[in-house]
This record gives sequence, structure tokens and C-alpha cells, in this order.
Amino acid sequence: MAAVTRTEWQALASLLALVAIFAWFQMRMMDGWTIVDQPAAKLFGIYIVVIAFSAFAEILIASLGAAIDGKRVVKDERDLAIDARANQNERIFIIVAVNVLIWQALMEEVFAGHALPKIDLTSLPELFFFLFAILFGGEIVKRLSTLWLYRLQSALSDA
Amino acid sequence: MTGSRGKGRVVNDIRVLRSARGLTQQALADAAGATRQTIIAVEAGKYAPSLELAFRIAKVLEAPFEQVFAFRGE
Repeated sequence: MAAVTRTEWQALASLLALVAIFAWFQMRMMDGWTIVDQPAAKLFGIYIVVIAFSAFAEILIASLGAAIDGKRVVKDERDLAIDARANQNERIFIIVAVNVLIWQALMEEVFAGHALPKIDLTSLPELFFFLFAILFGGEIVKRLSTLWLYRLQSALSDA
Repeated sequence: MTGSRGKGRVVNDIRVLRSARGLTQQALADAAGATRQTIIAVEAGKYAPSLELAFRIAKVLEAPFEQVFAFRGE
């Protein structure tokens, strides 16, 4: 198995930070499997904290990496190609997830008495939670794709 | 993105030419404007470089393009 590179460590650290922030977000939004009803002002507060944590985590990870080996991560064409593929996977995930939400909303009108889990998009906390969860999901897919693509191309070298 | 896409693949003799010139992967990467990881992936046939990078690698190795890279069809 090839050695893990700085770029991969950075992607992994970013993924772990993202999962941790999402876990915090979920704890603020859910009680068991139920989304807690909260006023808009409180939701806005959660929104600001999540954005601030995410930005801080990314800056911290990049700065720590640079402090450890004294170099910035330099990206070349292969890194950019991997970024592009990961962004594409993120976009596909978001499109699929939003379409699922649309179908869910439409199906609830058509089959009102179904036994599947219900999503009430007219409720602000639920709408807020699912939209944010989709964004988080997209970012997680992007980072997993990045790590997977790097691993796919990695090779041992004796140079 | 990888060395093989559809039918056929790009193969190369970078490792042999590089060793013959006493270049490390890092030295080749620096001279060609790529990262060492990219050179590793290209040498292993896991990444097909852009035409521009391929030409830069050939130039650093002081070898004709067709001696460095070849397309092997099925």
C-alpha cells in the first residue's frame, strides 16, 4: 500500500472535521429521530456557528499542514483532475438528493396515508435540516471521492 | 484520468529513462512542473498525463516524445 501523501492527509482531516461538525449540527437539530421545532432566530444561530466552524476547520487544517512541513500543498494537473471529478460526484449527489426531496413532497400529496417516513417541508426546522444535511452530504461525498481517487492512483515507488 | 481509458492505453518508459539520467522522481517532478505523486502515478501507468505535461517530461528526459510515450491499442 502506497504512503499517504500530504494532500490525502489534508482531505482526510477535512472529512473528519466535517463529520464532527455535522454530528454537532445533528445534535442541535434532532431529538432521537425527531427534528426539534425551533424558532428561526435559533436556526440562524446554528447556521452561523456551522459556517464559522467549517471555515475555521479548513483554515486550521491548511495552516497546520503548512506549519508541519513548511510547505503549502501545491496542486498540479492530476490534483485538479481529481478535484474536478470529486466536485462532479458532489453535484450528482446534491441533484439526486434534491430530486428525492421533490418526489417526497409530491408523493405525500398523492399518497397521503403511506407508511414511509414523512418529511414536512412546510416546517421551517425540517426544511432547514434537510437542506443543510444535503449540503453536508455533498461535501462528505466530495471528500470521500477525493480520498478514493487518490488511493486509486497511488503506487509504490522505490525512487 | 487513468492510464487506460476505453480501448488501449498510454504506456511509457519514464522510469528507465529517468534512472538512466540519474534523476529522482522528485527531481523530474520539479523540472516538469508536477508533483512527485503525479510522476509516480504516470510511471505506474495509473494516470495518463496531459499532452503538455507529457511533452515537458520528454523534454526533461531529453528524449523524443515517441521514445517516452506510446499508445498501445487492443
